[in-house]
Amino acid sequence: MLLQPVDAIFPVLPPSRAWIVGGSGIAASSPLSGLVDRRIYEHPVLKFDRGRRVRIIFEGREIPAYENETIAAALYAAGIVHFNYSGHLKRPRGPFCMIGKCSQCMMRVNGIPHVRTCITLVEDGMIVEREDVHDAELPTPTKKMKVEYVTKDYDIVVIGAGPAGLSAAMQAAKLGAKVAVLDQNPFLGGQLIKQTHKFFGTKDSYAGTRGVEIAKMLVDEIKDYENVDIYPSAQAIGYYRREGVLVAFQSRRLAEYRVLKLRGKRYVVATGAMERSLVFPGNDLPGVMGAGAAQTLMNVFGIRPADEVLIIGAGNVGVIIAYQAAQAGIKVKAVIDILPKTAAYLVHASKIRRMGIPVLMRHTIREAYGKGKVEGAVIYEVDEKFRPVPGSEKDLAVDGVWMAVGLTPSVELLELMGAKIKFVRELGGYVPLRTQYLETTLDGVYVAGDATGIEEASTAMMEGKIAGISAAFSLGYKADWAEKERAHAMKWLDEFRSSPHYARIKEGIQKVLIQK
Amino acid sequence: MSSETHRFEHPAIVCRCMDVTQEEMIQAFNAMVKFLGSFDADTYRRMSGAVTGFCQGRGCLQHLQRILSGELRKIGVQLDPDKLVPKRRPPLQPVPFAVFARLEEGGEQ
Repeated sequence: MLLQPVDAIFPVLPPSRAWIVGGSGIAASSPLSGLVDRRIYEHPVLKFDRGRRVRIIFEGREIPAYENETIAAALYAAGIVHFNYSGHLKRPRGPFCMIGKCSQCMMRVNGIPHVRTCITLVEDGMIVEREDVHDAELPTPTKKMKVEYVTKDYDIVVIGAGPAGLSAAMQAAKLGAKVAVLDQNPFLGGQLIKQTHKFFGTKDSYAGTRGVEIAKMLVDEIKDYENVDIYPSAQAIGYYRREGVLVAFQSRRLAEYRVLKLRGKRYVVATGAMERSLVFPGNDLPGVMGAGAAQTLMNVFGIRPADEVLIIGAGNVGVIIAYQAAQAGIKVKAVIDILPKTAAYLVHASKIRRMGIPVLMRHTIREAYGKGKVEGAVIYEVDEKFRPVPGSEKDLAVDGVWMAVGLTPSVELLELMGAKIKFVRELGGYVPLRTQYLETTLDGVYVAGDATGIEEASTAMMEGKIAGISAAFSLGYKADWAEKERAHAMKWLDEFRSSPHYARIKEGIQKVLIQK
Repeated sequence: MSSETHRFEHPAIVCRCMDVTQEEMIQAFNAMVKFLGSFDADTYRRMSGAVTGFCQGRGCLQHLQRILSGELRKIGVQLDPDKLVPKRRPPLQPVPFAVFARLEEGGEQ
């Protein structure tokens, strides 16, 4: 059962009406001609269902938006990249992660300070202002705030509706458990909803299917379960032993909250990961962002975040996003990586080489510069000891610097709950200790997906199955098919991780595997 | 414009929420070691401000670890990364006060 208007759930759908107006820039027939409009109206893979047209007021100016866009997306579409001023240095800042984690997109909306605009959908007439994040003025809500408290009991509460969370919820629901699944983003499917490349692997890991389609399949299937409640736009803000997970469930209207105390007999934490950043002068300029953030703007909302970009990191994510940027009509000036050899799959790497995108290995960034937003970046070459090669500096005029330098697991909620966490370099950062069935040191609290360590969407789905089935089993739900499904998922993961490419991950997992 | 002219015009920010630069992180470390004679993760957090902002360290913890392990190595100490994790506190996400302030129950069930 879906507890939000269905139209808000999934933005990337087959076109419900003719949206494509030709040309990659602003079409003459576009309803927005005469204004800066960075929306993509023709894309080789995606069609964007933006929904009804509305308007928001940004610092006195009226800006067109669409109801399936977040505030951050609508602003980017209008070419606005500076969202707030930083705490002490009062530097202009803009979003870094676009998925509600980095807190750099906060603005004053309808008089409410610190609204994370990247996960808040627009409303007609919304008043959006830049704020000074440390010296915010008193809240002056333009509408009366409505807050309602609701306590609900479930067998299993799943936090995170990405590939891991949805798979966990689905398996538990199939076994008959009463399940709640929540996500702070307005759209379900986690990061699958921006992945337009076809997956590798085997048939049972959706090989040959695009991430966006997998997300849609998962959401379509789970929506029909009567024993599953789905909460998008629901932020897990706390955990209390007696009350359970405290969730701020934002309705489509900004000032309306339902505060849910979701008490689960079991919990599955599938909170995913966050993009890493690099430290260099100018790394906080608006326009410098995670490559995944840029991907969200391009592939979820159909917006060109920049015209010319530098991508740092030539691993799979870097080269895939370089390719997708080119598809979106963006000029990729260079993809650079400090390593001598790309870690990307050959298929992806050669694809962008064929397109003529320069891939510069043994290169890194010196600085990004610009006034109020990034206007250029200086890169340089390094030798085999990572020392700068004299005279190798290149100055690139770019209005976007995207970092694809890896991810780090999001385990804040698990830490808050009291699960034991350990730093494991091979898994990308701090990860919870867990059993082979993915139960953490806390009885009844399971973990799945990137929160267990950085891997892939396919492994996240397998882990989700294991965690969901194990949680349901521990409550007494039983079925032969589920025993088989879980054994299969464990075998699949074991085989996947046995390839030399993933030997490190296997090693890392050994460091956090516990017996109960 | 040559790259020389605008080099380091901008700071290299480690913690975006609290505006802590890489330089300041190292300065805070040195000040603490001088003052305390030892390293303590909690004191360091208070002195540097890192990990204490809106995002509660989601963005800077990895950098903090890299910088600190480098600095500690210089004085012959091995950093235990597990000691660096801050105590998380609710609310994990910024929400209006009203979300906590109104306590009557209502709605479904």
